[in-house]
Order: sequence, then C-alpha cells, then structure tokens
Amino acid sequence: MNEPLYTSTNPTLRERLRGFVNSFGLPRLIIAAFLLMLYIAAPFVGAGFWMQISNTINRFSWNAIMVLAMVPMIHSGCGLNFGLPLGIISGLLGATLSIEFGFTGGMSFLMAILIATPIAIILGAGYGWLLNKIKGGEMMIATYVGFSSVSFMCMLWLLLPYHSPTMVWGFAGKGLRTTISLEGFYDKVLANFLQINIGTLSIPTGTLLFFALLAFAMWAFLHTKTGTAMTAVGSNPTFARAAGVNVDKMRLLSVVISTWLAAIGILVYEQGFGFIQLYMAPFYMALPAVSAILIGGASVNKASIANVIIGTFLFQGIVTMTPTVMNNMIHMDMSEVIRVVASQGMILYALTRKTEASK
Amino acid sequence: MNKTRKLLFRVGAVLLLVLIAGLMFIVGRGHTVYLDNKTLEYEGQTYSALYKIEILKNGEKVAKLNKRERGMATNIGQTCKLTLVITKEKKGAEETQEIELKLPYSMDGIIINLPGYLSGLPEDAYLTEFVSTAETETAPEEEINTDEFGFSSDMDAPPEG
Amino acid sequence: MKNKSFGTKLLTFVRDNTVPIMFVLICVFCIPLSGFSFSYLLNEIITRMGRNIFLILALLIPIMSGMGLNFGMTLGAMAGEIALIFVSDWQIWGIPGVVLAMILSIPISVLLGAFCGKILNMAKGREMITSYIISFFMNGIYQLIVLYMMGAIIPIKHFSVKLPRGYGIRNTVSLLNMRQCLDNLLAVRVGGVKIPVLTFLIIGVLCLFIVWFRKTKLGQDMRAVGQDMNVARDAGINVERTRIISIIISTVLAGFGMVIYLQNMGNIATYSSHSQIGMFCIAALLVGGASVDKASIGNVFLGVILFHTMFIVAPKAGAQITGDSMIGEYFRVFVSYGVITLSLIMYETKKRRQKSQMGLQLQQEQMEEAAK
Repeated sequence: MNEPLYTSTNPTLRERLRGFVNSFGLPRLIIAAFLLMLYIAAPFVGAGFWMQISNTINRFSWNAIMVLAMVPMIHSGCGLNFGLPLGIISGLLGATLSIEFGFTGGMSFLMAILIATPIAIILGAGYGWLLNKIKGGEMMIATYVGFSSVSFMCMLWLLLPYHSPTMVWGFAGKGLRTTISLEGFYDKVLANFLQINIGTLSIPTGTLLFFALLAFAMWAFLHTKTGTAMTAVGSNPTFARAAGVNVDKMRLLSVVISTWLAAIGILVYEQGFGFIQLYMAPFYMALPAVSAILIGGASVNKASIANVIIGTFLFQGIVTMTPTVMNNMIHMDMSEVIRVVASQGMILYALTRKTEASK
Repeated sequence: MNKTRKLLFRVGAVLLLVLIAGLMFIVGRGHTVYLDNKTLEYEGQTYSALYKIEILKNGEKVAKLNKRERGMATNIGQTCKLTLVITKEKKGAEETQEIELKLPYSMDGIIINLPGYLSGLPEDAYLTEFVSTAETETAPEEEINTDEFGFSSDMDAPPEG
Repeated sequence: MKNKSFGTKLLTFVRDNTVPIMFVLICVFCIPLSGFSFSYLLNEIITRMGRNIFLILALLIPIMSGMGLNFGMTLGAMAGEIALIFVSDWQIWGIPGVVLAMILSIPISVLLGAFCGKILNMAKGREMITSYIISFFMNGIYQLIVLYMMGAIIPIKHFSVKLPRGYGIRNTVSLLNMRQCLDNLLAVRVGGVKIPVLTFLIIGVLCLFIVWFRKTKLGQDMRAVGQDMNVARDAGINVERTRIISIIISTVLAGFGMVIYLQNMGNIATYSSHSQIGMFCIAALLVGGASVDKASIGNVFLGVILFHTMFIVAPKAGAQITGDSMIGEYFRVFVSYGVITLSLIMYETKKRRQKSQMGLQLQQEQMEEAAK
C-alpha cells in the first residue's frame, strides 16, 4: 500500500513491511518519518543540531510525567484521561499554597508535592467514583469534568484569600496573577541537579532521573499483584470480576494514581518552565499528553512505559523542531498547523480503530 | 418515485441553486460611489462646480455638497439611482433631477464628477476608479472584539494540541 | 391521596427538569442584581435568539439519529466562514451576499459532513468524543487553508480580506456591508424592542422543516437507527448511510446558521469565531431541558432564552456580589461547561440504569422459563 516500490520484488519483505505498518500504525510511521526528516534537515538549514536536541530533551523532561499519568487509566480500561486538568489543578493548588506558606528554594518544591498529594487523592477519588457511575462514557465526561473544574478554579483563584505579594495582583492586593514567576522558589530545582553541559548540548539530569524514578515505580507497580489485577480489569472486566477482583476499586485506584501523577507532572513542568500558569492555562493540557502517548504506540486500552518515552520524545521533538526548521526552510511558520493536525489526527486514528475498541 | 425522476429532480435542484448563486453574484456586487462637485477640465472645456448639490438615495439624504466637496454613497448592483437637488447659483432656484448611473462591475470604488455628468459628457470623462490608499497600508491589525460571549483576552485558552 | 400523587408528580417534574429549573432560579436571582432594565434585557435576548436559534436547531437531527451532541457542528461553522470570506472578497453585499454565502457553504458543508459522518461510523459508541476531536482536527486544516493557502493557491484578491504579506486572511474580516441586513429587512419595533421578523421567519421555516422531516421515510429511519442500530439494520435500513446523511444535514444547517450569526455580528473573527460556537450552542440546548438522546424545538427556544439571560446578567450580578466583574464572566463559563458535564453524566447513568433493568428483566424471564 504505502511501502517503497523496490520491495515489490520481494514478497516476504513486503509482507513483513505491511505487517509492520499495520501493527505500528500508518499515522505513527508518518510522524516518526517526519521527525526524522526534521532532524536530518536541521543542520542544513542552520538550525544548530545539538541545540535542537537539547531543546527536545528539555521539553521531554518537562512533559514526560504528565504523559505517564495516562498509563494507569488506560490499563484499568477507563480510556484516555481527558480529565487530566483535574490533576493539574491539584498540582497548582499545591504550588500556590506552598509559596503562600512562605517556603522557598528546593523546600518549596517538596512542600508543593506534599500539599498537592492529599488534594489530588481527594479529587481523584471523587473523579474515580464518578467514572465508575458512568462506565462506557468515560472519555467525553472526563473531558468535561476537566473543563468544568478549570473554569470553576478560575473563580477560586480570584476569590481564595492568597496574600503572598509575589503571587497576587499588585494594585488590588488580592486575586492571583495569571502567571507567577518561580524565581527564588523551585525554578529549575530538578533540572540543575547534576546538569550536564557539553557545548550547546545541556541535559537536565535531575528531571530525567525524577521521571525515571516515577516510571520505574509505575512499571514495578504494574507487576505487583494489584497492578496485574488492574490490567485484568481493563482487558476483561467480566473475567476479572469472576476472579474475585473488585473492579470498581481497581478503577478508582487507577484514577487516583493518574490524578496524582498529573499533579506531580505539572509541578515538574513548572520547575522546568520557570512559571506557574493559572486560570485557563490548564484547559487544553490533556490533549498534548493524550496524543503523545498515542504517538508512542499506545492505544485506547493498551499502554506501556516505552510508549510514554517514545511518544513524549516524538511529540516534543515535533513541537520544538518544526518552528525553527520550517521557518528556515520555507519562511513560513506552519508549526502550529502541523502540530494540531498531527496530534489531533493521532487521537482520531486511535478512537476509530475497531480492533482497539474497548468493551 | 422512480430513479430517473429522482435524479432529474436532484440535478434540477443543483442547477437552480447555481442559477440563484450566479444571479446573486451579479445583483449583489457592491460599489462605493464617490460623488464629486468639482470643476472638471475636459477637451479644453471647463465644467465648473455647482453652488450646492444635495444627494438623496431611496429618499434618504446621503450627502450635501458645496463647491469642491466630495460625498459618498454605497450601492448594491450596477445601476445607482440617485435624486439630486441642485442649486446652480447662490440664492438660485432649487432644481430636482433623477439620475441613473451605470457602474462598471470590476470597480470597488468609483468617482463620479457631477458637473461633468450633468453636462452630458461621455463616461470616461466623468467616471474614474477610486484607488484606496488603504491598499498599501501595512499597519498592524487592530483587535476587534467579535465574540458575543465577550471574553477578555486573558480568558482565552491557549491553543490546543 | 390526591395530594400525595400531586407531590410525586411535582417530584418527577423537578427531577426531569433539573437543569431548566436551576437556570430559572439563577436568572431570577441575578436579574435584579444586574440592574438591567426590562426593555434592555428583552432587546438583547431577542437579538440573541435571532442570531443563535438557527445554529442550535442544527443539533437536533444527529440527536434524533442517536449520535448524541454533534460537537462537529463546528465544521459547518467553518464552512459558513469560508463562504463568507469568499463573498466579501468578491464584494457581494447585502441580502444577495448572505444568500450567495449560504449557497456557497453547502458544498463545503456536505464535504465536511460526509467526512465527519464516515469517521463517526468508524467510532460507534463514542461519537461525541470523536466528533469533538474532529472539530479540533478540522480547525488545524481550516487554519492551513485560510492562513496559508488562501491568497497563495486559492485566489483571494481584495485588500480588506487578505493580509498585507500577500497570503492568508486577516484576523477580522469586516462584514459591514451585510451587517444585520437580514435582521433589518422587515424589522418591527415594538416599544423600543427591535424584532427581526425575517430572521424569525427563516427560523420558523426551519422548524417546520424539522417537524416535516421527522415524518418522512428518512426521518423515521433515523429515529429507528437512534433507537437501536441492530434492529434498524435487520429491518433493512442502511444504518451507515442514514447516519452520514444525518450529520451532513446538521453540518449544512450549521453552515447556514453561522452565516446568519455572522451577518448579525457584522464581522468574522477568522480564527476564533467557530471555535467556541459548538460548545455554547450545545450548552444552550441542554439548558432548555434537552438531553443527549432527546431534544425538541421547544428545548431550543427555552434554552436560548434561559442561557442567554444568564449570559447577559452574570457579569454584572457577579460584580455586584463580589466587586469583581471577572467573577461573573468566569461564572458563566463555568456554568456552560458544568451544564454539559451534568447532562452527560445524567445521560450515562440513565443508560446504565436501563441496561441493568433490562438485564434483570431478562434474568427474571429466564428464571420463569426455567420454573416452567
């Protein structure tokens, strides 16, 4: 169908290629090929290759945990977590409260995690309870739970009695700003840990290690008894129930873990980015994470840690590479269009796969 | 309903729509007509500006022109019907005249020199194309709030994806 | 006894109409606080009715055929916008411009609708999330066409439409020359309130069309498909085709609706006019008491009135209560999303309840069978 012409002389290779295309998915292949092309083109158009690589690695380190947050819910059969903003909000509450209580430096990061955790557990439990009530319609409702919670928090950011002068509007003395600088708090706290600099290449070792730790924990968890039970619930709920697994409890647990990871994910994102973004900023944050894991080879009901790593790398590669390379090549900044079409197209592809349809 | 009749019916409907669209294309072409009350030189002769012209379109007053003034009227279609109330001399009698201008399809803005037109000169004498200076403008676009839901800018969510 | 039955009746009425009742309460609470005069409110609401009802009516047919809330109506809105961009490039003004834009939007809408319908057929059971993602995906394609191809590949000449760089469409395209031309023709003023009679006549015609359409063979097929796809297929209905047609009709109507909406607004925000329209139309419909699987013309009218009253008064009322006008603005956004969330949840729980009831029934029948 889409394989190069020369393979037609060799049927076995052709079949193998077709099998490969089918299992990997054509859109994924196109995206991967596109990224490869960008990397090859980058040095020729004078867009510093190593600079691009380190940009991609940096953005990978910011976003990977939010993509990792997709894994538990996919495993338990709750589908793609379009409700990621709910977890992000827990993270934002943790971040702002930690600053409000006067913590600075690395301590503020630790405290943000500590404060965000109970909030994420409570919100996640409520969200999981809701998703158990509406099995089968998770994704749409998750999307709107995310939207409603973000718009609800918009009111709270204005109304909650925050006082820290670094966070509230200067002239009014109340109401949080839309962006809050993290300088003096936990800006780059993980990234600077053991950072490696070789010429223009810089690697945020600390952030990558933190991600590796969580990813390993996730992998280990999925291999515990609870973890395998969770996977069983996702792949065959009737069988799982017959085997004595409490389906609703497993699903609830997966939602809580996902929400908590989203909270941690946004904190890590902030420490890399250097700012807290409030109000409507978390609104569409689920979509990049969802498309990243799908690009990495996951489907609506199957995902692994490798999918997370590959997907985040490919997605963030496209995000960082397209603007510079395209601009230099054709003097048109079409990066946004490409990003939207690629990521949304990937989600569409996953949603329409019959073989991958859950239940 | 048999199949050929159904097909004919459909083709007919499509043709009808295309026909209406074509009609609208001709009928709906909008023009901006600029009306000048200025002295015109044509083939060595001078057609001097009139003292005062009042211009009415569909009974509504669109402009009142003294000497050397320009008025503006918008028109849909290629015929522009206007009523002119002309005062030739100071304290002279008012004189009403109905005119019907033929507008060329291709021009957006059209300047009509009224003294020239009223003296019965040929079209190329009184009619010139208005070339907007805005065409070369490169000023940054201003933001107009076009959302009925009236979000302030900081409420716009960042682009998705 | 009689009293009790009245009580239970009231209770079921409240339960079945939670959302509209909630909105009536919000409106009753907020209107006095906002301090708007009655005639101002009435004027605003009538304007917004004329502008939005057509768009919202476009949602009814996919609901009838069991495809849920058509978030893909954004596609129709895009078609309407593209048509209007062409029309203003050609400088066709007034009513002829509106008519031409509507006709021009049809082929684009049909194409987009067919695409959307095809994809939704591949994603049965999750139409809503899929149509929602389609609207984002198409937004990317729309940007590609409007921002990069128009003027470069697709001929666009007029300086008021095209960006100074030579390709792409400006952020806002002025429709000054057809602004409210439908609304002003035949408009009647009653005590300072402008009633756009022609717009309402068009809406009336559409309502009649929908009523008539429900009774046609195709309309009946759609309802059958909406009830149960498998039964409909056994009855010889081409389910896939019926579903595609229902989306195409919805998209075409949304395209017309967008033209009506934009001629009232007077300009197009080229890159954002369509992005929120689906969400607000859906919210308005749900506020009127519709649900994911059931919606009537009455729901549309009630929904527009309640939702837009809330929209008009919320910022002022919010400012009165908290001293900050932003609160009200955020509040109305929250309410819009909240209403959709609530309706989706109610629909899914109802579906599950019915399913389990059916299961129980089946079990009972089987047991009776066994007892025999």
